Amino acid sequence: MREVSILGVGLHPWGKFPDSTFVDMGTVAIANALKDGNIEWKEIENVAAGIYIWGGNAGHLVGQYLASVFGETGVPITNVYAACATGTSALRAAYLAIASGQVDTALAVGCDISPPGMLGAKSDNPRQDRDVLRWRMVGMPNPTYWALECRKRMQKCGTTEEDLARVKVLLSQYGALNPNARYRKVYTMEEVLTSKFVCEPFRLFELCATSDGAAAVILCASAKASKYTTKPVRIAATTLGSSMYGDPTIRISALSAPAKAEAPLLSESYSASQQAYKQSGIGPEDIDVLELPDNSSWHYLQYLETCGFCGEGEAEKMLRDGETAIDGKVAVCPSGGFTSFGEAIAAQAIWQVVEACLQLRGECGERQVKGPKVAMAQTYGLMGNSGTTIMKV
Amino acid sequence: MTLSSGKVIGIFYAPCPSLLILLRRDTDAFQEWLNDNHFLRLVSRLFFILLILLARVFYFVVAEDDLLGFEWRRTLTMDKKDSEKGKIPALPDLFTWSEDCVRIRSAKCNSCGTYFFPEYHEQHRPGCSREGVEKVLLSNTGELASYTTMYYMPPPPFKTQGDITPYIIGLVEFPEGIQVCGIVVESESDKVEIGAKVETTTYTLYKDDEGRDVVTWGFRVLNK
Repeated sequence: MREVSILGVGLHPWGKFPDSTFVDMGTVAIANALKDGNIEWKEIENVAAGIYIWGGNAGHLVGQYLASVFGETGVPITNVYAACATGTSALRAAYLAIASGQVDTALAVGCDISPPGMLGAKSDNPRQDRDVLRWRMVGMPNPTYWALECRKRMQKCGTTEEDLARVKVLLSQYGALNPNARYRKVYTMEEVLTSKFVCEPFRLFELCATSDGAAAVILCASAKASKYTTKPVRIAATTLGSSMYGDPTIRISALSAPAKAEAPLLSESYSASQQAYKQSGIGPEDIDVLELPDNSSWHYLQYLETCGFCGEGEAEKMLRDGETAIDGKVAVCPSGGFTSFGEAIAAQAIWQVVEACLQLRGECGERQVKGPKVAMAQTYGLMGNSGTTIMKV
Repeated sequence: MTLSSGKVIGIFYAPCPSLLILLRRDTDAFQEWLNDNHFLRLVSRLFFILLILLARVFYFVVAEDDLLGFEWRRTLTMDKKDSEKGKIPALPDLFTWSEDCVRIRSAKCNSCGTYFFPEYHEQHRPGCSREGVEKVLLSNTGELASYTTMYYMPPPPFKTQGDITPYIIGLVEFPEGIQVCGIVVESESDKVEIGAKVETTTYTLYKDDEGRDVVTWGFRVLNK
């Protein structure tokens, strides 16, 4: 396997853009990435695109639609889906095409326009689609699942309402410094703690919104990267994880879980991160910047444990002690996180990689972490999907 | 292709599951005892076939039409019903009215021990032969493992008679070793806590055009 580097990164800002199409937004992200990587579209030898599930047939052929904008060149195009880990799935496909020696350059792209409000079901056959059951029989939006897990954690680890609010307060300070963020207001503890409950124990500002956004990265065989750039970011590992039997998590879409744990909570994410540590020889103690999936304040705390940054029940202390701040032991979500951006399903995992890359290149301005050498982007998708990408300079 | 006698008997037995359980136990005992005696084996088989035919006649003629004035069929099918007293499930095969209580329909793999819900979304331990899956009814009572209060109405296809917020969703752990989510109903909010004992019941989502209650399963917290 050859080493692969990230040549260029590009974003379309996150927000709500009712007049844009997913093609418009993806085009902006790709154009920015090409420019950043100092590479021509004609030199891209492989495309991996995240499927945009709300876009009908076109959304399932994102790569083809975007390629036609830049000029079709006949290269392999793969469209992939892994729920909110879609972006990592695309990145890994692009990575493997180069690492295997088949091509020298590849594009990974994801773009998404979220439907308004909470995400609903897409089919009506309960025997095929667990989503139908959870919506029709129980009325369970995604945050409900996280609330059930959070309540368990509060009971087990003594997580307080203040801890949940503290996550938002900290991340809002970073989001305010990020020009691509959708929410740039700095919140106080009081503002978060007096916001309305959505699903207890979560309040409005302790859950991420759904957004529109697009992100792209251009990958290149490390040996050939110097032709284009003087600041390549090397990929130490990019992995995908799926759930393990006996995972006690009440997993989104499902209405049941085993009572007796035979695997770690969020086993798909545990698996993805462990694979990445093993492949790269890098451990949590080596990581300077961590972009984790803060879909809710519970995720922020739980992922520190799931990915091995602390022991069981220790995440709250890390947060309270400032160890996860920009100047702490590991800078967690210096981008501002999902709470400042909102989820854009097919795009968010690639966006996390873009943010991590910019940190390693030292281009993050006011939210810049001091001299980071290693960064990790961790994703989480429903039905047991996860991906981990470790980057280094 | 020939059908094994097991399959033939399976077909005969199929409509009367409780009888099947009784007879199979006896068959096994007989088979051991009569292993070397071909004549007795033949007699015992004929005896069973006669029994099955009688059972079928009883099941489809006597019980179906309730000729003896008893609700025979209810008894024979372990009181499992798909609807009760003007209530119909919003989706089939998820729970059942059984012996005056509501029970969630699950399934268990006898090879790897995995319980899953619903019974048609099969799950197994890696390496399992996936043989011997049987449908089971979960206990009527369990313990609350977690819960949340919902303050926003979910979008369609969740359908209710108007806005039902705030409502509580609970995660209930059953003695069989499986946790199932459901709406918590008719409970005092200060009794809703982790570890609380609950029983499975139904919750009316809305009324259909014929005025029947369209229901889902729900959990009621039991007073200590």
